Amino acid sequence: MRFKLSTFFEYLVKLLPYLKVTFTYAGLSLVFGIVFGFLFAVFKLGKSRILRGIANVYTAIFRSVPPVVLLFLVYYGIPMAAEAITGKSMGRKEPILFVIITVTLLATASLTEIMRSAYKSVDKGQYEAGVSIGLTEIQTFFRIVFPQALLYALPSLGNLVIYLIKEGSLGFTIGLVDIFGKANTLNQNTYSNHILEIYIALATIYWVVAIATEKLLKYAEQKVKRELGRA
Amino acid sequence: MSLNTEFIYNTFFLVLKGVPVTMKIVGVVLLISLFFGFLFAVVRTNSNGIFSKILGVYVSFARGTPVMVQIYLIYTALPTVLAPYFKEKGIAFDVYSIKGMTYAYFIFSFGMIPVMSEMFRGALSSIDKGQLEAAKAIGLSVIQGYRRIILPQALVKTLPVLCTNITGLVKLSSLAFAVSVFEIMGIAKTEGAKYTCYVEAYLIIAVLYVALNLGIEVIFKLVEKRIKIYA
Amino acid sequence: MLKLEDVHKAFGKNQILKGVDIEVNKGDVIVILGPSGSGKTTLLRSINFLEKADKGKLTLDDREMDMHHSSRKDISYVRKNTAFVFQNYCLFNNKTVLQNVTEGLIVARKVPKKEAVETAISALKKVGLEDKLDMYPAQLSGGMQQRVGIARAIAVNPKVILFDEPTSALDPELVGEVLSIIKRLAKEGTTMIVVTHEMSFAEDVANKVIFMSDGVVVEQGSPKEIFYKPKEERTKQFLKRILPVSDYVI
Repeated sequence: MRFKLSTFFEYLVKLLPYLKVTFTYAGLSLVFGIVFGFLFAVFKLGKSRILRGIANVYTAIFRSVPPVVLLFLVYYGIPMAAEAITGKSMGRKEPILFVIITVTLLATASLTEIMRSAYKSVDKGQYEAGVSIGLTEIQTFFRIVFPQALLYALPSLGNLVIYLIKEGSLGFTIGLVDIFGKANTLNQNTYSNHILEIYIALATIYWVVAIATEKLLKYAEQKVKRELGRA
Repeated sequence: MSLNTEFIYNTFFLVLKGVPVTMKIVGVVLLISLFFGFLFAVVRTNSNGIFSKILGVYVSFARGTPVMVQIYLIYTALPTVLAPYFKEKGIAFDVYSIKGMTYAYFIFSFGMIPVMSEMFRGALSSIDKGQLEAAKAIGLSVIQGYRRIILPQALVKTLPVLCTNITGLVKLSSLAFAVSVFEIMGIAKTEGAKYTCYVEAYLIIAVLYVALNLGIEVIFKLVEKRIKIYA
Repeated sequence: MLKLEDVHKAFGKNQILKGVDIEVNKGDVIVILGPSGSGKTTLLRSINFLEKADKGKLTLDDREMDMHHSSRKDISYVRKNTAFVFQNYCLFNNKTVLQNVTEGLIVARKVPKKEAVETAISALKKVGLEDKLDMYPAQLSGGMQQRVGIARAIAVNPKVILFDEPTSALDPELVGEVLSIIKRLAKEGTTMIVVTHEMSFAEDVANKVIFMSDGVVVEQGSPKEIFYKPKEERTKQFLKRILPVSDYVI
């Protein structure tokens, strides 16, 4: 089996710059996902049956659909819908746009659950103590309940980030040039002569990023816990 | 925007033929991953030796890298490298004769075993230590204690996570098209390409997968309700 | 100063409060006794709207309000003029001891920070915890946490303090330190309504004891009257079960 370490490092270096793309779609999806996830979590916890229903239907669908299917549906479906609405063709289709949309849709579903569960984990007494002291409900939420919910949500958030990066890697199927897409291109250009080195380098990058994310989150968790005096 | 409803109608039944294939994949991988997952969980919970650490590395790799990367490594890269190697050594094994299905079983199991292992670990460690102590106190041996007291409770605790894992497995199987397996996704892709009715094709798949997964969740919720009182 | 009239509250099919009337004057130290399920905690929590009564009228300092159709302003008025001490302390986990006590002042009453800190420190001095300002609740014992809870209540200078079984969740050896603080507050003239099982407290500092059972006020009077000369049969039954036989003659 031919595997040259030097070639491995060569490709490692060639792929690294494209991490930028990966982090871009992961980051943007996370941000949008938090916004919409928060919205749907509020719906789910609220009194309106209709809103609760909408949020439940959304999470049911987007947690059950395979990411790759959603990606293709978005890739073919959105331009079609856009054309139908505006009557204009969409022109050049940038893959990253569709990847961001897809990953955001998935992230929102997960984040709705994460936030709802974290919110419920905070003892009701915290809210009661807040309002009985004269704070408004909003003040109590943002100053007392939310920070504690965030702490409960941290581990799940870490997992989510890794998940977003992994699922977004499917973007190469619609032509996205992130690390996976670039790896494929490099492989084709070298007629699969260095196929082992390329894909092992690719796997290594993903692995390291995953481990780093885990460690970062554990560190953040520890820091906050230490600050609040908990063991 | 008009969807080609005739296409949808015709293709739907064609695509349904892929469901048994999906079920086969899910079934086989489920059995394999449950078995090994449990084994590995027991090992990792009860010891900290070298084997345990190796398993830890394996789990970290499988969870940190995207499935597609694992597929490319095992399905695409490995054979390309092994074929000339075998030729050199005179090994009469045709690497390309291994069926896509076999790859599917292997690769998906590779990814699923750690997931199941973590599930069992979580359940095993969450069982109150007092349960085993109480069992010993009334004269049960450790094995009896595990079998009659601990295991049943652990099993019940795993139900919700198991549900998530099985639906995850169903979603995972959608990637089988990458190893040339014609399950739901594979069929719909080719049909869609034939008639350039991509949106309709993927819509069908999405609906099918969502229905499948929701069905699984419903079944689990029913089982959970019945079993809840026992733990 | 505080009056509750005809308070009703049901949880689902369970009618917990079946028409309760209470009157509190300035300086009163009222103890509410009763078996579990009698509705005493629910009554207390309905005063500052932690539970929303199904029916009833609340009057606080000449301001009348319907307890079921209360406006945000009404609720806010009550909450800004009362304070609640919880059975499980409910200190803000993500804030220090000092921050816990200043929160109600700075955020809810717009007191400038310097003044709020001064007030907080003097409240904490009163409960003997002025040296724990920068600690977090998780680092304190139950008794200490409850004392902070009391300081948090005193700091906002409420018209009446509501105590919901303040010592029930404490280890026996910590009950004393908290109880003595509440007794001191009572003797200093703080108006308070206390739901508790601590009979010694009732006898020492209460000027009115209300016995509740099954969602109604069965009997009320001075501690001497209730403990030594109970009129109602239900009261006698309850006291028999709770009090050591030798201490009181029923």
